[in-house]
Amino acid sequence: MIAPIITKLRKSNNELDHKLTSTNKKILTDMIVYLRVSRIPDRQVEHIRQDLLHMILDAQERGQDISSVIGMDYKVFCDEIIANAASKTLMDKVRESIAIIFSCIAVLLFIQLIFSGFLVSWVRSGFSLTEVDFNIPISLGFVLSVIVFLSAAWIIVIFIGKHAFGLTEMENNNKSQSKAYYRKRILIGTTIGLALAIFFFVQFKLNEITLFSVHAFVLRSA
Amino acid sequence: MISIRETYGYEISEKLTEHGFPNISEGTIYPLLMRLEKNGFITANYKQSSQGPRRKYFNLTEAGLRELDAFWERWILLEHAIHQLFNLKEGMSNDSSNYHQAEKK
Repeated sequence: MIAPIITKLRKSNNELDHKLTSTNKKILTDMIVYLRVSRIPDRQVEHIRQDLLHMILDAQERGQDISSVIGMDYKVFCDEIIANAASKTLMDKVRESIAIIFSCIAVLLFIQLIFSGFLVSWVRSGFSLTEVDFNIPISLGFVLSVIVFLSAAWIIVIFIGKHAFGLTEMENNNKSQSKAYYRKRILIGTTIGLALAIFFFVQFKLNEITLFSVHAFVLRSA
Repeated sequence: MISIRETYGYEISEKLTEHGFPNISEGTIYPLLMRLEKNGFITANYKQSSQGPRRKYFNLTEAGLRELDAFWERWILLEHAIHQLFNLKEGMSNDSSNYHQAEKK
């Protein structure tokens, strides 16, 4: 649950964001992405974002380049901020992890609600409360897919965050458009495709094993 | 700077540059201001500025004032020690120069 004050701050920061030049916006986005996956609590990252926005907008007004304010190496600047900012407490980490996990599970449960055929049956029955079985089976395949998708999403977010500056540099670097670069992308794509195919095949087999059932209205309220 | 009067990041960097500190930008001192605030030596509050977005102004706390006094005491001791070393170095340079002059005679 995001505190109202942080929501208000985020909204104000989003408005200030529009005043940045496209170059400065890109640089600031990379910095904030990098800071978000660090040990700094989310609410403090939003305050830091506000401070950086003010600094960069002031520099824009003075006709100065962003590097005159924060230097040439943005990663080093961010590392200095991380070193001097307060760290997440154990409670912060637990709270954020629970919020993310339950949000993802809610989305996946809603998808399960759709693909289990319950919604179609319920609509066809005219939203009857007696003619439809409200117990939705939760299979081993579904539980496995939730764990795998959550873990994969977590790894991808952390990877993108930690390598925010490197990924932007790669995108800007025309030399990366070489044969070796394309071969590498094809190899990674094929590996991911193969992994997904194996995963869906295993899940299909494991879907026959029902672990427990949940009432549809519980899933709906999730 | 903050002990003199309430001030903001860009003004601090400008004053430091005026006093001879080279290449001090607002970004250079930002992490330091964060650390001072985290340790309770300064407090920050936002005020509307006449020239644009609200500015973050800093004030020294009681703990900050005590830490500043302690810093000056440490600095005076360090300055004295370095001054002694500098005198020793100067003394050794003079002795070496006198020796070479005596050898020439």
